Amino acid sequence: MTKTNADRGAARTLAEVLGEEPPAAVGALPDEVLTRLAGHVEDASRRQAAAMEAGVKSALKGVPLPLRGVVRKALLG
Amino acid sequence: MTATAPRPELVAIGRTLGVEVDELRGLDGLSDDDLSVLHGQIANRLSTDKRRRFARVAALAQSIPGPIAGRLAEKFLPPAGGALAAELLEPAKARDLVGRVSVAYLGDLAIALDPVRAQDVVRAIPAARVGEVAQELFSRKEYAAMARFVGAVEVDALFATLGVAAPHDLLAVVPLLTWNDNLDRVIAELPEDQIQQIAAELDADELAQLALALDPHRFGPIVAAVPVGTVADIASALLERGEFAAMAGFAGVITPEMLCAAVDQATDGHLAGVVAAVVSGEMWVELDHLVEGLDDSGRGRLRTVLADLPSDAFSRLRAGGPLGAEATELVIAAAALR
Repeated sequence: MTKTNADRGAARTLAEVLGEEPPAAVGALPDEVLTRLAGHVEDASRRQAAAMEAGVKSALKGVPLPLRGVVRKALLG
Repeated sequence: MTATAPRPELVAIGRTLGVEVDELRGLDGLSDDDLSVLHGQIANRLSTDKRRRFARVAALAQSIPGPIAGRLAEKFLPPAGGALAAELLEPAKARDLVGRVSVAYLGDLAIALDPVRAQDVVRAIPAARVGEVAQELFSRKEYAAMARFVGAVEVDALFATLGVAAPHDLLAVVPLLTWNDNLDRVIAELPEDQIQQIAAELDADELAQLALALDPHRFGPIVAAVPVGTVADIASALLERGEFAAMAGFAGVITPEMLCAAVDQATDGHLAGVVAAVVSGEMWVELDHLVEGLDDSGRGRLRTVLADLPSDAFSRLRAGGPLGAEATELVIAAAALR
């Protein structure tokens, strides 16, 4: 029996990372390629989150003290 | 030997992920379409992360008074983040805020904005303010951002946007625009003083570039404001570039006097190129305009070019049509010479 893309672990992981099914031709690529691609997406997401957090913290230093709490809460939760 | 340049779709994915193209090995066998879809999915996943974060900023902007929100945004929110927050604002709040931040900051936001996701917000901005942002983007020569932004605005804002464009701004931005009915209307209704300015400030080569970017009937009012000698130079520029089909279209919107001046400057090789484009594109209406606009000397040269056409092209010409009376007569005369 032929396995669908969704049945393959690497293809499923990539679909989860993307939040949607990639094109069929992408899902049919070797597992090693799909795993590496999913890793790149997760790394990019982590780097982006870290950069945004650092940027917000840096910007907060310029917010007047009385407002800093409410702005920090709004931006960083 | 020259190394093969990486495919643009792979470069785009690499840029979005922050990795070198080499690290995407294994994807190079995919079609351009599949790579484009994959790129869109990756970009969407990463921007979803960002939008989640900036939803908090949008919520903050909704809950505090406009004057304070505007001051805080401009002072502490980098444009990229501001653009993400702006996409999530209620249009009414956006309309209020754009009046409270500087045009320079709005220009930064417009560059960072996703015009599709932010369309409702962009359309809530008063046309006059959109015109000010357009002027800011033109002054920075941010034409690609300008073209994206123009695609998101309504027709009144489009008038305000292109109304502030200097001739060289129009020349730079028009080829980047995605054409639609609104844009067609705005170009068709360019004010007379702007047309005169375009005709006065752009040289023949630049006007030829504009002719290539615009539909011939939209270029007509502009070319009508240009001196005959310059029109002949526009035609020469089109012919030198091998833009024979464009030249055939251009011939349909210029006066007979302009057409004769243009043909006088053209070589027989150029005329042969135009005729070949007319036949392969079945541009019979354009051929009628061409023949009807030419004087006896021009028609004589055209007859010789038609007589020298390869057999298959001449057969297509005779089978094509319907041609007007004068073009038909010229084709018959050319057939007699073959």
